[in-house]
Amino acid sequence: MATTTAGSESVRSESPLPPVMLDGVTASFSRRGHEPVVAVRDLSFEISRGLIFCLLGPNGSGKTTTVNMICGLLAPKRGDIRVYGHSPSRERREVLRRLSVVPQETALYDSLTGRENLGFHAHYYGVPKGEVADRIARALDVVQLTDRQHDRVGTYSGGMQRRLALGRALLTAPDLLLLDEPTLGVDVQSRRAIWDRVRELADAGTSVLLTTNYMEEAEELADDIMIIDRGARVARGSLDELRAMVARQRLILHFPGSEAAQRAQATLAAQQQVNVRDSTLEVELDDPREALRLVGVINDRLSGLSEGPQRFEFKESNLQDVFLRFTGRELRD
Amino acid sequence: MLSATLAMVRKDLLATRRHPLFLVISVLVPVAFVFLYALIVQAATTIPLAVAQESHGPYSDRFVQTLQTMRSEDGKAWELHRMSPDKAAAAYRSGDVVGMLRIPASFDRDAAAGRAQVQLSVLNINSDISKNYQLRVEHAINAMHTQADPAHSVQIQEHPRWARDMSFSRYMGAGLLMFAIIYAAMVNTGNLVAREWEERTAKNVVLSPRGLMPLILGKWLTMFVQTVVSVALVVIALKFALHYPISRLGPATWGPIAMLVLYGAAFGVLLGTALRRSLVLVPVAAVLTLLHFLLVGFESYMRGYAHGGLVEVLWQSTRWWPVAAVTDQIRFAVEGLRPVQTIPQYMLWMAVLVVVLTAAAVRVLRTRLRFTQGQ
Repeated sequence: MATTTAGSESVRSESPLPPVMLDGVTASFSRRGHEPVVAVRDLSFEISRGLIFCLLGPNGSGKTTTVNMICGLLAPKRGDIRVYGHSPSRERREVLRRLSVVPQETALYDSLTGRENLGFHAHYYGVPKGEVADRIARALDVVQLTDRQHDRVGTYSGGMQRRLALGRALLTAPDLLLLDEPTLGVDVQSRRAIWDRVRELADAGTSVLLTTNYMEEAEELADDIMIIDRGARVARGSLDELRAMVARQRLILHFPGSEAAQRAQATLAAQQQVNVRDSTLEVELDDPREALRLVGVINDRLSGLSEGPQRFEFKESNLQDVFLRFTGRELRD
Repeated sequence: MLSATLAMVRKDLLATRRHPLFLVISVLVPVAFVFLYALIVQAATTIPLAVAQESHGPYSDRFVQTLQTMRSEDGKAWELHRMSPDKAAAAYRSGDVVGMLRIPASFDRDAAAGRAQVQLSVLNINSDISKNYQLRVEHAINAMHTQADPAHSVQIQEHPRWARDMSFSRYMGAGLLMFAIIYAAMVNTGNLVAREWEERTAKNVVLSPRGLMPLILGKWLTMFVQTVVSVALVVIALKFALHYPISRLGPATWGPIAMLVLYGAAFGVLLGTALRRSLVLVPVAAVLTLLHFLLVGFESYMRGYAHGGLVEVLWQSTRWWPVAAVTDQIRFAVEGLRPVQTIPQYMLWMAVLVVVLTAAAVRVLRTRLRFTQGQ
């Protein structure tokens, strides 16, 4: 299969092996005077070719550690990692020939222009000399930075720097693209532009591993989502499959105070999945028709005390609901 | 690999051209040192003396002539200011002159009788300055006696190891050159390495399928270019401030100079990977290089004077450090003299040190490449 990446013709290998395969991988960091921190715990997954696989997790969940292991910067303590059948720790060069990484930090030289950054990367990463100028021009075009190519990167906005980092990753026409939180801190327009480019790349046959903690990013891009927390897998599936793991709809009841909400929760707890936040009660529903019965029950119990719900609403469950269900509401630093 | 290495060199030189701060620092510190020592050397060679000659006759005239012609390898011994006794006394009292020599009116008559005296007044705020005046005046009196009555004077038969003395400025110049080379190589290389972490680009440069060699070779080549520029500027300063004979830095000095560059660069890589901060690196490099300058830049100086106390302890603990012998090689080669110590074994020892420092840097680098949560 011949595909176009960053506009340049490159022949993708027909390897039957999956782009990425992790089998029971554990990674830990030793700390002087403390117990080792286990960053990734018995993680297993496989990425299919030409799809966008999303690692979704809160801060410190092990996403970047997983990326670092895949590109050979870290060796797992246990388990096996394969990139197109090659071990990143033992066959690092083979692995690095097949992939490109867009790291969390953009890793651009502020004192160099956008074009100079790309030129350095192309030569340093071994792009054939005769193709460098063409690939740079196409990469700049793809990430819509042709007009600013001669400006120093230090003058770029955060979004432009992220786009340039993506363009840089495309110079080597990778089979596998590792995007580590690629839209961190960028505005809506730049985020949309990056999403569009990533989707085009996947459609052209590039396999993508995306890490993010933005739900909308995963919803927009991911063909396959794995939610990880504290280094371990907590859920996996397509967006629809994940949403199916929680109730399709939620009934949200607003009470005059938190005590009333808690009394209503006590009324329903035995029958339903109920959450209370301040004066709001959320009830997960598998069948929307159940909602009227529940409102009736609550009104019967609380009407005598004038503490019935002031208003109620229905909401469709989204990925955030799934995420919070599996990772909880505890703050992560 | 060549194109990747050259890409690294081009990128670093371009970045240095746009932000030359550390290149400037690598030049400024040694140049400041050169000018500082130029002042010291000047003060240590020709000293001023107000001469009040109240007697005029063959003895006093010969004595003043002896003072005027006294010189060492570094230049004239005296800068004589002949003036009337009143003016000399006033200049001495006001501190305009530090030393005053009065040749009394009876000098020629007393000298003919064999019991003449001169009066030396010294503003003795520093014993080293007093010693300079005392020794030089005594030397002049002895020289005058030898000329006047060679049959009855005590003469010294000197057997110097080399045909002529090495001038103090050239002796200092070699140490300062060593300082400049090691410091420039250390700061330039350390900064080139540390900057990859500061700009958060380290991960990207180690993920190249070309491996780590283009990174290492590229940094070394860039360092070499930058250090050549830094050292060239320092050498020009040496020429103007200390009259250092830079045209004599011939092939015999190239090997030792190259070894000092490699040594400084190996130290710089270690500092760059360990500290990962350019601004911290600069003072650390300055302290390390200064220690080299003071402890082994004057190794032959300390060998002669290390008798007891801290100086002997320092000499004994650092005499095996090969930087001294390699610096001496430059020192002697410039003079066209054969050095005290044979050089090959010290060059080999330096090469071993370069390898050890580089290996330590690689070890630190591997530890630092354990990226967690970004960098």
